[in-house]
Amino acid sequence: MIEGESRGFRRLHTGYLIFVLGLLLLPLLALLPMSFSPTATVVAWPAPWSARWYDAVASSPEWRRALGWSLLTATFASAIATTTGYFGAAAIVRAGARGSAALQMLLLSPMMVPQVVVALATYVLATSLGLHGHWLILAVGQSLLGLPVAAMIIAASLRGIHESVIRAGISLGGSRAQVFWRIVFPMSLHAILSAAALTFLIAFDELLIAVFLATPSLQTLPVRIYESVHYELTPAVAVISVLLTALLCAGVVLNQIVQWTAARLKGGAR
Amino acid sequence: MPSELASGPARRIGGLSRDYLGMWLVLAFLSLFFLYPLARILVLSLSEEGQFSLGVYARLLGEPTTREVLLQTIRTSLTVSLICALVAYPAATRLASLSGWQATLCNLAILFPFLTSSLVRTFVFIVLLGRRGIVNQALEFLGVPGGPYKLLFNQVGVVIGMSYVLLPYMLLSLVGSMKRIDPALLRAARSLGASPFTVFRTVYLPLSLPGLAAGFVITTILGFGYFVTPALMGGPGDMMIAQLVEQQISVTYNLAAAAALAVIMIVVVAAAYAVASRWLGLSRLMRPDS
Repeated sequence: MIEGESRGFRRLHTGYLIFVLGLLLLPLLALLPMSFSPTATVVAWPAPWSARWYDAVASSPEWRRALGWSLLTATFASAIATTTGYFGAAAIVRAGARGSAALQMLLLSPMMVPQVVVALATYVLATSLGLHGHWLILAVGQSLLGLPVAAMIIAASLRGIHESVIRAGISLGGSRAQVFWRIVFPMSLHAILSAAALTFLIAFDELLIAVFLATPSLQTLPVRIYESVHYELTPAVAVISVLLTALLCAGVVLNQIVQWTAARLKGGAR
Repeated sequence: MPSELASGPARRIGGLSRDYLGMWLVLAFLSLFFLYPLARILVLSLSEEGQFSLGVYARLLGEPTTREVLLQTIRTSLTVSLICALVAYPAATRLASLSGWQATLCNLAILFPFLTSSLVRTFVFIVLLGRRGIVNQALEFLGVPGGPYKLLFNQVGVVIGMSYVLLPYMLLSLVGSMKRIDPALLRAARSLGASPFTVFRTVYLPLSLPGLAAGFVITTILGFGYFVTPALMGGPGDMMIAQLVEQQISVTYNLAAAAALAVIMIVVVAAAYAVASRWLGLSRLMRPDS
């Protein structure tokens, strides 16, 4: 920071930063003991610890079905958002200044309105198409939320690809498909993967669209968690939370490795 | 992308340049799945028995409950943003000055809760803030009188829970703008004889204000539309507007009222964006760290 601060102040400042980061992380760590409750109530520190609720969740068809629906819709939503986001990003980067700003505005619009508005729009769409309760329309609605994020991430990466690289590819006789698959795609792969992962997470965590479109046979994991917290509040929610958090942990680490590798490759190419 | 890819008559198929195919695809996708239903929402809210009418709005805003919910929502989102700003600013100034593995570690510490399901984060706070929860036990242990406090199913719970959920947005926005402050300016001010505090007050703080404002706008807009935390942590008297929309759909089946509420939400949010972008620029709001 600013030179000439006293050492005591700097220590205090660092201490405060660690305090805030602790504030962010400790509640998530608290999930672990909560999930080992021996009874039907959720407490912060159960005694004795018991894996009973892990068994209960693993053998529950309801939780498993909810997870299945979530995986299905989130996978489709991520695929739709990443593909559409790529086309949108390419168009933004390629279009002239005027068209680019308008297109960018349009692409970002699902993120600028409150989520409940997107949810209501999807509900209205599903009703008017006669597809209420269909998982595919749920996936489309969820992909709308991820689309702006995907487009922004991929556009940032496409802007980083210098025109001369593509010119070189064309002047050496590459077809459009070859230029895409052998130059543009590998160079933006880390952004495409990040976009796919993030849009998957956004769709996986989405609650309101899923609530609006839910039927007894179509309940995603967030809907199941929401109802469980609202009406029962059993340690099963803590178990699911631990599993989700563990998965996310693995995802964040994997993403970090991809980013580092991409940065290293870029550095090596220079 | 270069112009070579966009030009040349040989690349035209069916009257459409292939480069614009992607753009048309995006436009068609958004028009069909987003703009069309939005237009239907607008029409739904503005008509009664097939006729143009403002009746839905008049009835909705005539009810004291709706007005109260709207005011309550705005008040809560502003309070939460203020708390986030106060907690995050001092931490962000330190975080922005870190580099290397320390910066990476701290960023991961923010990114991780940021990406964790908001349902999961709300659930944790429901357990921690309960009557026999760890927070009340800690307060009792520290000898704070008047406990156990009611921290759940009321306004206090909603504000604590939402501040926790939205804090990472504020931190990311602040750190993004603080990292762009040129350290040479700070050194120059120091070498001209300013004390560290004067440098902070006259150079650092003004340069970090756009990031603070962007973070404030983002958290306020997100807080305004928030559903999960108020729905699970609020009491019956602290309903927020997103809950009201959900109620109109799932409980009272009043699609026109839900549509009108959605239009009101869009108008409020658009006004917030318009006011903010006069000073900040919209691109800055959407991408605080670029």
